[in-house]
Amino acid sequence: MIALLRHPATIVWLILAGVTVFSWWLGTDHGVGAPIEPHVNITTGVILLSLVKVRLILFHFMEVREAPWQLKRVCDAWIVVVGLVLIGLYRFATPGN
Amino acid sequence: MNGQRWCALGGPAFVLLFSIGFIFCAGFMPAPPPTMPADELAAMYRDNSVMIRVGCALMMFSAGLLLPWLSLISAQMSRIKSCSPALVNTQLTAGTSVVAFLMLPILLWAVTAFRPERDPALTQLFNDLAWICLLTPVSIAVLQVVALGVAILGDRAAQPVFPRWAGYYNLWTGFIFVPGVAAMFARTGPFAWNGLLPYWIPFAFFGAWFLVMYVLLLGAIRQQEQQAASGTTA
Amino acid sequence: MTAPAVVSEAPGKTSEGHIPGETGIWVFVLGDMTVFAMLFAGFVYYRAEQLGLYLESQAALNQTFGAINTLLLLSSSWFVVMGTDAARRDARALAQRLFAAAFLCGAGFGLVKFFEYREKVLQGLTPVANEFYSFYYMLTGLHLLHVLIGMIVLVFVFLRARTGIRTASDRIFLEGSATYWHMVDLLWIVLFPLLYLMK
Repeated sequence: MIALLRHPATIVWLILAGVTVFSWWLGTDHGVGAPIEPHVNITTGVILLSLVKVRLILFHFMEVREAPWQLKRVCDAWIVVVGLVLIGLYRFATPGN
Repeated sequence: MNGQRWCALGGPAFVLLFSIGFIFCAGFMPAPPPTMPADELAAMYRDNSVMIRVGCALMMFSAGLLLPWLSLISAQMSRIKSCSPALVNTQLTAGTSVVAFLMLPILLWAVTAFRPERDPALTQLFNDLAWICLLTPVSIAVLQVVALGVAILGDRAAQPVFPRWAGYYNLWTGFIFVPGVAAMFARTGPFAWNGLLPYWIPFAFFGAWFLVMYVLLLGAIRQQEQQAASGTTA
Repeated sequence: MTAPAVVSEAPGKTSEGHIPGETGIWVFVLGDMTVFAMLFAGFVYYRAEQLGLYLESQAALNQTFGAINTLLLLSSSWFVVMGTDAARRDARALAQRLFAAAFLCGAGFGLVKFFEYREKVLQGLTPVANEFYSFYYMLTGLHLLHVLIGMIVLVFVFLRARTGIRTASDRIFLEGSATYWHMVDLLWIVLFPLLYLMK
């Protein structure tokens, strides 16, 4: 069991879990009766963090790190485009942001 | 020309003729929104009565072209040694059901446009029937491409009938069709029959699927001819 | 694609690199990711048109369930990575146990979703309640469908792990299945903040 835990994937899991818990804490309402209004920078941060997690999963769990450079670039492109579109729509198309 | 190539042409021919009928004659792109009041809908059918029916005639004819297309796909599938007849038949029957459920909305639109002066509530009923019938029976379309995809992935020959990525492509296309069922639940927004999920995305990927499969079918036919000529069946 | 000469080797670092599974599985995975990306973008776009409704509706979502589900899927991915590794080292019994653990995590995810959906439905928040909930059920439902399919795949991986990786075809199946499962995890990683946390 200990040998299993020494695997690099475990470090990745810890980072992923940590980021998850952190984003969850960032994203949940703090304080009873807090007004429901958008929190632009926090949400942007949460989305960015999710994309960091995606990259970790792609490159370390899905072994893209050892893949041909074409696959690596395509994966990176997906992350960048999705990030730009989601954050762009969120920040610029949403009223009040 | 090998008869199979005529069958293969049925696919792109369907896309072309159906698009002309659907988009340019009937004017159904974009689709009339589910929220359109019955009176307005009746007026639309009245004003475009002839062109809608012209479009329907074209669409009806084009749908028939799918039958040789589907038969060709099954014929090529049966060249895959590991492909069971059950899978071959599933593709054919599922695909034929898709054609049947494509004919039905076309007929409904035609009937609605045939006597546009009827009670607008009836016009709206037929219009609802047509659009929901067009977009929501997704399981048959999903089954058709999944059967094809599974068959392709099961092909272990040294020179497969279809390239392996095509198997994955068909499975993925199956997923694309699934959200179509949302059209029976929503009247506005991305889930309605004129929305992103049931309408735009499936239409785009459905059209693309024909073009991709057409090229692949030509390749499979050519491979078959080469194998017949050299006396091998790899 | 270069198939390694000794098939139970870990992916060798050739100058070309190693595609996990085979090219075709990545056609599927990237295609699926792209479709989901379009759905995500659609969600953010439509959300902008009815911001108040979406914020209000989101408030009823159970973020704890969402976070638990995220951790379950992350863990299941870890189990699959370890299981793949074990299979490559021909540690077959261990590999089976790890894949079984991944399956259980997936089952746990499904169970949480069941309770979550039930909670919502009992509150009257059904797919037709409003546009936010249409998206919620459609996105999580489509994802859940992927999870269920993934669990079926894991059963086959579990069964095949008993006999080990003997051919290139075995390797492709193992790596391809792992890739699919990680994709399912990846999709949820983006889905969770968009639906549950985005304010």
